[in-house]
Amino acid sequence: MQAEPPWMQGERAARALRHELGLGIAPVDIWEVLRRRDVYVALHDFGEAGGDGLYLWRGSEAGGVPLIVVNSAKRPSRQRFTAAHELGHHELHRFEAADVLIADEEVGATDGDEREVAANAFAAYLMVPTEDLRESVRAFGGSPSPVGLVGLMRRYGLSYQALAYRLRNTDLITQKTLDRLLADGEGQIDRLMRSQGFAEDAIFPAPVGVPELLSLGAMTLFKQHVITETRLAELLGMTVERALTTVRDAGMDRSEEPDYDAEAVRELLE
Amino acid sequence: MAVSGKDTVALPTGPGFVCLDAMVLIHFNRVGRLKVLRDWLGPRVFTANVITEQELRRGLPRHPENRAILDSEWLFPVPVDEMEDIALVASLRRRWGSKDDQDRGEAEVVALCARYGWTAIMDDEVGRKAAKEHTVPCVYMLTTVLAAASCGLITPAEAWRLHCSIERERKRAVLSAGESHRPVFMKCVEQFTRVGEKLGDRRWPEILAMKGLDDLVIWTRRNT
Repeated sequence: MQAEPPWMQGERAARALRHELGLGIAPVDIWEVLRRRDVYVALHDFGEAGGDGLYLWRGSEAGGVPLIVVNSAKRPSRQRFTAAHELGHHELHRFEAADVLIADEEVGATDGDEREVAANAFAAYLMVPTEDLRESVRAFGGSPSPVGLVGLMRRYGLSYQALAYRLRNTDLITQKTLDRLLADGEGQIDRLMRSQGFAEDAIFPAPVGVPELLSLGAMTLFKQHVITETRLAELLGMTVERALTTVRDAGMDRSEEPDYDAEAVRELLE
Repeated sequence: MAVSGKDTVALPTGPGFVCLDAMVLIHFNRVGRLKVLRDWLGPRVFTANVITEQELRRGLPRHPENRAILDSEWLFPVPVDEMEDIALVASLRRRWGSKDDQDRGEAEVVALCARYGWTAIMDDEVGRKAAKEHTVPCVYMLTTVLAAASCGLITPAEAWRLHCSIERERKRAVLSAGESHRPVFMKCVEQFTRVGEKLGDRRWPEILAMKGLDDLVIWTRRNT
């Protein structure tokens, strides 16, 4: 039997993940997907000339720790695609070895590397499911203009170029239309985005993931200085002021003075 | 493994070197005593690169006085570039729920101290908790002043005045600037002197890495 090509592996993994998380075919907030997948994310400034991102897996018999690092110096849309691409490595390649490190200088440049092709296909389908894209294109009457493509940027949170190529790769436009879209969009994208009243970093902003904790657990962690008041507020789903009132009312407020380690004091004074 | 592509510069290791949180620099500078940190902790004092480049430099329009910190040739900002350290910073900030660049300074100070074995000077309780979890020696600003007095770097009376000048505005330390806490402060200097004798000639700055110094301050406050 012929082996499944890498792009198909990537797309199948993305479909499986969408199914597992109950995402349907709607656009996704990749940061929320990563949070739900329990993947650690770090946004780190490697500079505009730096690589796009990294995927790191430290495995053990009990499981493993996944970390995705995204270069925060890149445009927000690029960061989102990179995050999805690295998630593709997580879904497809984490069990290749006990420790996996994949550094992606440029996520779009695969150089024929099958893992990179698969991760790109994963990211493309996860961020822009073919079925949903087809519906969007139908709304344009089948022939998107630069204005329509900027509308897709807003819907999916990806770059103009990434979406143009996605349309081509899904056979929704011809090569000639792709060339026209790229040429017509040259130098116009920021202006078109402004005219449609949105900014790249305002759609699906990069958040910090939040694991689920019971409110009592959250208050205990706050009291013990394990988490900040900001985090407490997030976990309790309320404002910081309200969260602080809640812990006070529950008798879980931090004491005015930190506690001390009596054993350490005794050792010092001996 | 460094991931930024920058050259790795060999940095000294061990508890004889300190890494400062932003608040230490800001408060010593605010009371005009920044160079005390150089005199006590130099010639090389470390801090996290994110503190100088993001917290202090970006804040210059609102706090131009922090230019003095950025111009301090004895202060060495160190980037967090190692894979494991970036992961540690990410996991701490994820746990803390930090937004944007919030809490990056504290997290990076912990990561740098864990890597190089330095001592952290940090008052932020959440950062200190993380330091403890990663067996990073960590002391309060107040404890640093007390230890300096106990080692003869400053007289106890001068140390008290320095503490008061910082604390009058800040009002967060275990000991306040009130006269009622002056005897506690002096008692702490005495206690620290006895503790420091155990280290012999290597009292300063190694004393800062001794486990339980901050606990001793709290204990003394409660028992004086």
